[in-house]
Amino acid sequence: MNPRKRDELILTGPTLAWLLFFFAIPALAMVAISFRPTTPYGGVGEGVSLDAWKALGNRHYPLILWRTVWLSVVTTVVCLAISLPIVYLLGKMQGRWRAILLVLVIIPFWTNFVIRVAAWRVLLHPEGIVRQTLISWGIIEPDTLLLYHEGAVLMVMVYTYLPFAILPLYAAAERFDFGLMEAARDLGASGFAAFSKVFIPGISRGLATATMLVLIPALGSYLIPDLVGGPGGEMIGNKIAQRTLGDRNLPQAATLSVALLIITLIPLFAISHLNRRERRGAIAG
Amino acid sequence: MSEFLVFDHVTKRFDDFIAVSDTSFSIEKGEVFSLLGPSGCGKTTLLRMVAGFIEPDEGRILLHGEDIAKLPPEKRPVNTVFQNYALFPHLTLRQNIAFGPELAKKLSKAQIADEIERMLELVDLTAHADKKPSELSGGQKQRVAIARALINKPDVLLLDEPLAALDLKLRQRLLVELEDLHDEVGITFLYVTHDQSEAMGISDRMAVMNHGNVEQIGTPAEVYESPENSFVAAFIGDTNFLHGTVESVIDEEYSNARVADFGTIQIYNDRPLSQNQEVTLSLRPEKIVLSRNQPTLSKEHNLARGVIQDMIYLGSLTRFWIRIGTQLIAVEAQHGRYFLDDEKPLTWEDEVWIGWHANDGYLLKEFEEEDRQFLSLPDAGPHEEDGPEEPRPHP
Repeated sequence: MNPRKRDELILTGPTLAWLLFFFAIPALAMVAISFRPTTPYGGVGEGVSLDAWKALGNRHYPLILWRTVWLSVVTTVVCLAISLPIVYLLGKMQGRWRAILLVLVIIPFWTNFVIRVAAWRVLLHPEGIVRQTLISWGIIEPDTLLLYHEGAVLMVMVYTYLPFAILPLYAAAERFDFGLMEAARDLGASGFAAFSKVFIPGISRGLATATMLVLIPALGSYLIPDLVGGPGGEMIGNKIAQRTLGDRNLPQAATLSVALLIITLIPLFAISHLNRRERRGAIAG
Repeated sequence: MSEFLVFDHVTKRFDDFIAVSDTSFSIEKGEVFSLLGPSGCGKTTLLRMVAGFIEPDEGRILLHGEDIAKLPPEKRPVNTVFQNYALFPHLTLRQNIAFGPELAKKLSKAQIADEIERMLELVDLTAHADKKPSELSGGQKQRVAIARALINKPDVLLLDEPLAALDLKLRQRLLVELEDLHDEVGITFLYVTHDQSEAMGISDRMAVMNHGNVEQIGTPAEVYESPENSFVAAFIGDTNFLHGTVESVIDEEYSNARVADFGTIQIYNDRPLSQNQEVTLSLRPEKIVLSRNQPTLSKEHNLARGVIQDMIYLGSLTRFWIRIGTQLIAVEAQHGRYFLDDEKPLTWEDEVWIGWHANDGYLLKEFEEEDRQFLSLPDAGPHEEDGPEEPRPHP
């Protein structure tokens, strides 16, 4: 073995081992468990069984899988839609104000995630100040609940994942040449046309990163629907927890996890495919 | 004289800084008009006000007699070629050039495609049409930027230091190409530059600007040969300033003036003169004849004797600084004279004669001492220790 190869192995070896033991093997074990039967005492039985996979088709799993995808996609779209004008302004801004606004984006991270979501429970609580105020102003009907449904989950997810959209988009917007916006206007584009035809393509890499950073954790949400979702706002993460901790049906939990993994891999592959094509284009074209 | 693009008492302030100060002039249809001046003189501000990126605080900008000062950029029949090209990096050349016409939606898809081919041919980039801007050289990018602007058939093409980012040889070549292009398309060009040779080379007329004011407007020859004030004289090319007092008016054409260290010299009556009037003469270095022996010249010539204090060989010519009394006079001479005419080449500390025709100087209307900063002066050296305090040259 030449010294260079050896150095490479020494440097990458620990990472490889870590990934192997703590990611690859557990993931494969999970796939294996999903094909096992369950035992009456909550263990994993011997032999091969497709029961857990068949169960995906009946009862409420399709609905929850669909709700998980739907909520995550909408969260991603809303986060991007809110972030784009923000990072456009941040990118154009200079010096002090830019730094101050960026700190404002990051400040929520100083508070624990669980506490921030719990705070939303307080805010949206039926007896909470927000609902009472909205009712007294006549904006919502007295029987409207702000908590325990899909809408509450969506709102808190958008709140939670917004910084994960803003930060990568900002990094891209900061490198964007705003002179191009003038060029677009000069060539006859309205402000909106310049934004959509020049600014958005100009930060496409940031968009891909932001999409991944929001969509993938959103698909795996557990805490947010657990705290503000109620039965009508359940997502796949909650079902996995229920099957693992409550029912002790480990094959079923494993099956749901594998299903979630597959759903998660779809956008990941799509984006890396787009990136690869773009990079190839930059070299070849 | 058709007044095509008119600046009517235009003023623009940025906080306390007056970028453009109550400026009025007009540009004719089809001409190449340059705005020339040092950085901060207001030339780019004027251009950006025509493009629509800056709104004037006061005054009007008329195009075909219609005030465009408040229109957004996309509503103006003008297009800009930016200094840094500003090509869209995610689009190919063809798509970059198509950007304007596709938004305008005046032409069919096929017509747009035809126009793009024509433009690609015009700027000689057909072979590169499907490349991205990042794969092009600086000169090619600039040509794409020009094609992208011209395809919209603007009434005025605005060029914002279009060649500043390119190296000298390419700049000279593209300047010729730009001129040819102008002859071909006949569109009015408004050309902003800080480079006088670019402005002189391409302009039909030019406006020399300083501190937000237009100092002089004229053809390149008018501006160079008859600068109105010391700023124009010093900023465009190089010159010598001689201060004197009119002794006597000889006739309609010539007068005598007393200049310290030179005695009495003859000057041309560029404007009506009267006895005892203070005058400042701008005398271009290349108009002065330099020789070791006293030359025999006509009676309209002036002669003076001095010592070579410094000299720089520049290839196509040699620049001398001749000390005459307390004054330092810049002289440019072809070195045909330098190498061949004299049996012995001129060198430092040599005593020489300088001479010039009275008509080769030009009397300035105004003189400001601070404009000397734009003159080139020799580097300080040990042989210059006893020289007077002169401002340092600005490169």
